[in-house]
Amino acid sequence: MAYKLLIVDDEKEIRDSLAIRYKLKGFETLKAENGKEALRILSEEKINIVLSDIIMPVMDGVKLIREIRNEYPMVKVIMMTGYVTLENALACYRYGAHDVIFKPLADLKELDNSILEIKDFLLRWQNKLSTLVNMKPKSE
Amino acid sequence: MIEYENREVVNEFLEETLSGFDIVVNALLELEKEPGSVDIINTIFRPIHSLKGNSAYFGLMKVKKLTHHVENLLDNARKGKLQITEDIINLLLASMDYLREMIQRVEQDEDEVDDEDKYIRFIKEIERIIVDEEQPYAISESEKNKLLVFLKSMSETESEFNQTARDLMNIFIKENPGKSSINAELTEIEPLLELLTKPFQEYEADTEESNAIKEKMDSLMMYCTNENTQGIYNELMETFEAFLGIGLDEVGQEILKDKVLELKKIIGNGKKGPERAADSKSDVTEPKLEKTKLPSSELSTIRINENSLDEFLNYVAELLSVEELFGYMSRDLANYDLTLSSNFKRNLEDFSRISTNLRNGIMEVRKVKAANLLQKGQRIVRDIAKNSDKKINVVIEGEDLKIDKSYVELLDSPLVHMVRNAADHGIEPTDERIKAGKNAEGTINIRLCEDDKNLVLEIIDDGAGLDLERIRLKAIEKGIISEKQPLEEKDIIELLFKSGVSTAKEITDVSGRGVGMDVVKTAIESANGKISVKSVKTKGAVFSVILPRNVSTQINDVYLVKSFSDEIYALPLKMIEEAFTIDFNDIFSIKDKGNVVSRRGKLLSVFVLDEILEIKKNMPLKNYYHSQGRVPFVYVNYPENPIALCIKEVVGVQTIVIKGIENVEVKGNLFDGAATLGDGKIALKINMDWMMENVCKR
Repeated sequence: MAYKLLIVDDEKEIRDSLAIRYKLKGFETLKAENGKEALRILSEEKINIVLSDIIMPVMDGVKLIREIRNEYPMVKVIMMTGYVTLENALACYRYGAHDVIFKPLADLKELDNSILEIKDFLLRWQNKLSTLVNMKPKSE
Repeated sequence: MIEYENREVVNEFLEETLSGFDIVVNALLELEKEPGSVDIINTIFRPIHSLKGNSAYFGLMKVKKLTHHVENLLDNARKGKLQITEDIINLLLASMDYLREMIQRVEQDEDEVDDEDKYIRFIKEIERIIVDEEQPYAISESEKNKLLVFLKSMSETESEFNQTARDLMNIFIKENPGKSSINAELTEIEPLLELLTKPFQEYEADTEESNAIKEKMDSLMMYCTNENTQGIYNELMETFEAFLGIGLDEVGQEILKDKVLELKKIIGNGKKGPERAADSKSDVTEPKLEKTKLPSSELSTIRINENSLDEFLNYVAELLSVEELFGYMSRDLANYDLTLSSNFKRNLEDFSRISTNLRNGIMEVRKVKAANLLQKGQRIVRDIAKNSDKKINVVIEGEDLKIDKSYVELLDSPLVHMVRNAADHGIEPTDERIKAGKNAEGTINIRLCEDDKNLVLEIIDDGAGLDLERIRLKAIEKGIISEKQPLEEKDIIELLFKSGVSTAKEITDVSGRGVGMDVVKTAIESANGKISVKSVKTKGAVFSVILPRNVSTQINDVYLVKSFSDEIYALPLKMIEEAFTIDFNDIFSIKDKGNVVSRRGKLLSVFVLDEILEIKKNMPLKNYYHSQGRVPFVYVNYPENPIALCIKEVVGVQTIVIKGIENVEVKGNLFDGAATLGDGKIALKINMDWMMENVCKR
């Protein structure tokens, strides 16, 4: 089953290009314009990874990740930001962002690696859970 | 349909979740009796909270949303913003039922919700309560605190208003007794501690969270009247300000919490009395007990898959076959070498003892506490009483008794049914009870007890007793009896167990099942149990279920017999009354009944085992016995239709391990298993019920 990746950015070009990139890499991608829309999608779909900009209108990325931490503790988040402040970075860190990627996204290798790490992480946990279930002996 | 990465993981999660629901439901019922208890709310809160977090991971977004709402409601109640009322308990119980329904649907591979409107109504209903009830409380609490702080600070300045402020404060305290300084800890410190204990909220300055903390700290000031407390208070405020600058994280939280606890200790000691306050410094080190935690009485346990237990039991049971085999060998051995044989026998005795212990041990492991099963009754009665003009008290006995896991499942629907029946039809409405000179509150006693042989579940009510006429009419309506048929009381009661007579009217009831008494009875009887009813008009009724203490497993005591074709067959021992021989001339032929024999004053229809097995057909009985000797019979005491089964010879009584037989089709379900005997031969076990129903009808 493909992992679901939610891309949150107020710039349409970035949203679309990232969505195409990761669709080609085998993810199912969804897009949102701001934090609020992202939360709406999160409440309706099972999302595995959120890729979010920090500065956005309506609801910014810090508020979004905080909300995700509270409501969807198992969703992994990668933050992207062009305007880096220590405060923002620390906030992402505190709310358990998997990574912070600094824009501009000239080289996407860093982002790719980060996403791959999460993929491994999720896979590992999935296997753990299956092992746990299978450890209980079954008849036949 | 939702897609899952791994169906097994999801199922495991769902199963675990469902098993946790009983705790929540019971806690809710307790909460109803004790609406203010934060401890109980917390007990409910925790499982709901983790369900919320986990359900999103498994893609159950609707379960998540509903639990989120329930959690909010509980959170409001916990913070005192919401008063727990009967309506709220009803709503919470209904939500739990609905969640259970959703999870069960998912388990069966269906969508979480089948009726979208109903789901939305649920969500709306909870939202309405959260919004509605918040208003009257929101203003007053914080305003009162602020006012008190203000007055306090006014009274301590040396202004002319000093006296006036003091007077005002006294009036305020008099009018708001809860706000007097005696309760300082409760009104100020506890909420503050709670705020500081909560993880992962908003940490930045000037958010709702930090402002709330600040406000509470401000109001603490007035209790810090001496040098010692003021010092700590100042440190507290400084730390708080410092952490606000960099963000208030767990470390900061801990430091603040420690300081508040320190303050609490001193203030707490100070209010014991003026003398104590004087040397309060020496008391500072005296530890004060924190809020007592709920006792964790459960010993540590492990969860075992039921299947693996059954499998283990299977292996243990097989030891019995081995034992049987050894027994046969030891007898054989006696023919060759007596010393060796007796040595072997001694060792075999040890082996038997250990295998018996092992078997008993595993049966003990299968046992679980009956509490969860019995407490269900509480809920059912409550719902029925709420919907009618009845007051019913439920007394549960035997909660601590441990019973076999299979019995918990077996007794579940009978219990639901019997309790429903008692509450619905047994207990009369309050006014009727008073008229009849009874206690206005009816009592339903749910009692589980055991003696040497049996496990007994009784549902006793002090209601009106069974309405025999109603049962009779229902049976006529269903065409089970005719209108003119004369019936004794016990016959009418027996009708209760006939199909259709007692089926629940609606499917929407608590149990959710429309299972009738007939189904219940069949289930109980298939486990070798009995169900019975006693009823005294105007005094009440007793429903009882009696089950053998030893659960029927693959290990069975059977009666082995040999057919005329020299095959050995196993009959369930419990149905065998005796074996006897009779002179051939004492077998009579009666019109319509065929061959019969008379035994202990009863006429028994004669059947030949081989004929039942269709080995030989329609052969005159005497052909089996060429010599006019005595004919061996087994008296099969099947209820209402005892028969005499003609066999070649009796082999004996034995404990054997019954195994399922596959791919062997012999006359429907005539055989329900097979066992290996000591000498390696196979004995087929005859399914008496099937045999009596299908073959031995005359």
